[in-house]
Amino acid sequence: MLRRQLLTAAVAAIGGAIAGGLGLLGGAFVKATARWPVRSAKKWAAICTLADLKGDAPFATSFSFRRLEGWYVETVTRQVYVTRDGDGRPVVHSRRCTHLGCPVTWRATTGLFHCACHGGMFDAQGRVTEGPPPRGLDVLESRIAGEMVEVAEA
Amino acid sequence: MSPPAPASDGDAGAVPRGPIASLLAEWIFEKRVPAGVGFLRALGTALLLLLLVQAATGVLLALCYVPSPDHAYDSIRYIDEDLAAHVGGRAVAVGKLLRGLHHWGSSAIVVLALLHLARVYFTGAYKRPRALLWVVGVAIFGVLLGFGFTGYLLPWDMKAFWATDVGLSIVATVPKIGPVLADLLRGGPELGAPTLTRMFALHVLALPAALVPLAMLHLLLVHKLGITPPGARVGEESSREPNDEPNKAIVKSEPFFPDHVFRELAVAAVVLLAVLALAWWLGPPLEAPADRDAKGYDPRPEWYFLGLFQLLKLEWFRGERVVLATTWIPAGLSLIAILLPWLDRSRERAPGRRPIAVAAGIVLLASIGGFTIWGAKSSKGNHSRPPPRVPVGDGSYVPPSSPPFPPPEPPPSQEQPAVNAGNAAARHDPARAELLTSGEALMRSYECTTCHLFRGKGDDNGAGGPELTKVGKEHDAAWFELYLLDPKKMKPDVEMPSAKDLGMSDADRRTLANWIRALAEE
Repeated sequence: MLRRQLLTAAVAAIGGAIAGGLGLLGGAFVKATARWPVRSAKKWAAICTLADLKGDAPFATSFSFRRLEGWYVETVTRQVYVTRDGDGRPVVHSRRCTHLGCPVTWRATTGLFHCACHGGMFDAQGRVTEGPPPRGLDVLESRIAGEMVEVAEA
Repeated sequence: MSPPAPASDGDAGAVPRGPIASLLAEWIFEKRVPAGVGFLRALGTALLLLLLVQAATGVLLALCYVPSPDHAYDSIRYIDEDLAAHVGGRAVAVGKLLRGLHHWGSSAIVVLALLHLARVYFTGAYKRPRALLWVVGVAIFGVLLGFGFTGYLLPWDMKAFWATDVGLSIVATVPKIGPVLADLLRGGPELGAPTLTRMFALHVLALPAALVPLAMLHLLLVHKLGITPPGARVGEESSREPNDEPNKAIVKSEPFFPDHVFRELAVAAVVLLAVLALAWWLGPPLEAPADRDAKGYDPRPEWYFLGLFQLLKLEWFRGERVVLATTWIPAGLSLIAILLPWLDRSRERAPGRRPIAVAAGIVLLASIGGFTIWGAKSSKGNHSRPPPRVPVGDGSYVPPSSPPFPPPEPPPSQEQPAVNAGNAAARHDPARAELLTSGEALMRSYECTTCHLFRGKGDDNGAGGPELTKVGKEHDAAWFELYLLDPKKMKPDVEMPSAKDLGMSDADRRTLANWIRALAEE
């Protein structure tokens, strides 16, 4: 009977080791696939000049960049509005509504960003004034380079 | 998991068992096998376990693999080089390890299948009542070789491309049906994009669909007929129920669990450890991307096809006799294998009492082994290496694919700011932006990326032509206009078609020359 118990223990140990080892490796593999590889340093894209930001209305523009989606090189275009904050520094807002991702549009008549989907509204500084959005418009990392305003590609 | 009480405990009959408990009892915990089956008869289960590992690793690899020439190689490269897990501050290339397991696992499966086949042959286990079991096994072996062949093309590197090309050319030599069969397998007259997609479909859909029912039938038959009692002559065992009393009178038995299960798992564990070691230290091979115009590349098939490969190299098989090596010898061996239970009708199973069958088996194994070793020794082949990887997002200007976002509703007058075009750099020089767009369109129409890289990408991963965004720095536009007219005149050592070859108009030539210069100024 001792022999039987030992063999049963060995069967459980070997079976467990094979299943556990494969499970761990498979889990690590799947986890690694959930991220995109980064094969280049941070890049900046020029989106407008400082002269473009004279008016009161946010300045609508866009930028395109290439990124690695796993193994695939994709060209992505981002649509943004550029405004000046209280100190006159350029602020770049994403056009995506923070509610469910619909694009917002600036209306000069109301002086607000309107989201067509669920009535969300934001002021020129991106703060929520009405509707369901949980937070203000997302701000993209930006800098001034000479006369140009640049955003970090992401 | 504790085994249910064995039936011999006496009171087991009092409580009716559920369907799962009785199934487990019948298939595992109360099953008995002939005494003395040993490790030799544990190869089949080890093979089954390895196939399950192939299925699991295969499903995971399919998460990241694209069966199309434009991305197959990149996706394999991504698996090998970009998928890492961090264990204790150290990066472990889990993608490479997993692909290594799948690659070396396929070789281990061929080895195990051959050993299993040889064991069944030499112990006479294919004889009555297990003829159907043997035939199903031979069919499974064929399916396994099919897995090996179809999986080989998928990485889309030099070795994959050329070994498959040679393999399909061998298929094409089969009399009558060969050419049609090869075209069907290739999806066309030459190996190309359709071949890759079709090999992938066969590998992950058709062949598994064939293997699963065959393997289930094989297992069911093994369970119903039992393992052949070592040394028993045909008719000396009960043909129906291996656990029957009359059978026990002739053949001593031992419990399947845990004794034989231990042997099966032990064999599987040893093989898996060997596969893991190969995957860890050697890794999955990957050469340069497939290139149909490669000169001087010497393709070699996977080792288990080397025997056939070597056979084809013999002087004797040149010319019309090639059909013997590519068709009649493999077909004859297959036919003999399938019909074996009916060709060999003797009742003896013990190898010592079947001298002719054993000798024939040894001769066959020795010649296949000999040809394989000969093939491996006489043909080293050569290897190509993967090219360096191109960084992505190198800061070069990307023309916007479409104008910036159109307003979702027609803008009432003075309500909408003017929609601004594209990246600032281009927006401030419309003529330049226009040149960049029209130049690129022209470049595409003349298919320059057949040889050249453009922003790191070419149709063939760079067939030697330089990166178009870089070349403009060396000369002025006038020089490029002359160069495009007749490249050899300006640079004698280049391999580039002239404007005449390409049917390029003078206006297009000027635009392209200016475009190349404009690119260099970015």
